[in-house]
Amino acid sequence: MKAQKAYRLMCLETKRIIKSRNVMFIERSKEIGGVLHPKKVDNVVVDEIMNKEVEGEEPLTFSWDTPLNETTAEGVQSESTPSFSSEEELVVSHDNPSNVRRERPQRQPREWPRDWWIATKEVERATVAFLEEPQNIEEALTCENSKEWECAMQEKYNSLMANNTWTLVPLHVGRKPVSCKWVFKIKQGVNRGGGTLQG
Amino acid sequence: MERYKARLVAKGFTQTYEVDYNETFAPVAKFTSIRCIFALVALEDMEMHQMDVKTAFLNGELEEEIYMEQPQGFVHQGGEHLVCKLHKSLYGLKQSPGAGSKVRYISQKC
Repeated sequence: MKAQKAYRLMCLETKRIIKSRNVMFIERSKEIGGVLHPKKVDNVVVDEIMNKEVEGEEPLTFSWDTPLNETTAEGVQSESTPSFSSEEELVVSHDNPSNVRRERPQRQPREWPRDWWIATKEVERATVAFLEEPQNIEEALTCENSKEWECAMQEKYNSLMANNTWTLVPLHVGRKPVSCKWVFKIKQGVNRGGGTLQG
Repeated sequence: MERYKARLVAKGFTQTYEVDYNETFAPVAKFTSIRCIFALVALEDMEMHQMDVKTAFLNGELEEEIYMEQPQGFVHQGGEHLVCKLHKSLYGLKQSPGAGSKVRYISQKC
């Protein structure tokens, strides 16, 4: 696999691989390898070609995760895949200094080397939302959700008007008007905390 | 649940200093001041309430004259040559964070 700077995360629901450099990891979680910071999905690339390749190997990659599942798999795993110690971690990172991901040693010979992490549901949703967010008004009005976006814009425009934000005047001679732009966002979970008010 | 949100932002980076804006200022409460209040409250055995002025940012009155192009998709028919003269601040303007602090806080019954 070619060396790349981005982490690869897989959404289990959509079976899509997301590549991003903004990744937050949950270390003690059983199945979650990595979490993309939901607020920073700016440089996300989705690689759909990976789909088929990944699907077939899914059971194997799960077994690869089991050392973390200490209570159930400890005894079995200790033979085939010795549980991961900090010593091994050191050795591995010395062997592959270029490898950012610090992969654990692979003991099962036929295992497909996993080079992706599992994304959490939040990541999944944030990514899907991000991919659906139009970048400009032309995109907003031509995409499949154009009705919703149009509605959102109208709503915002009405509130600006109600707030007496501006009046239309001929341009003062010698002045240059500031340009402006529409920004589109999909907000998840309206009742959840942390949602900023959008005017 | 998903909500679709649109926001109009001014391209404040095209504003010129001393032409379109003079001072930029973002009021931030100093933590020592907050602690001072806490101490007072504790000392006098008072009660404390926290408040948030919603959309204070967008209710700031502008002191400078700012002209903005009409937003895409909402250009007034027959008035294409007109521009928006802003009264209230918008996201993106250089003076927006400062203008919000000058909102007159009028107590209202909710």
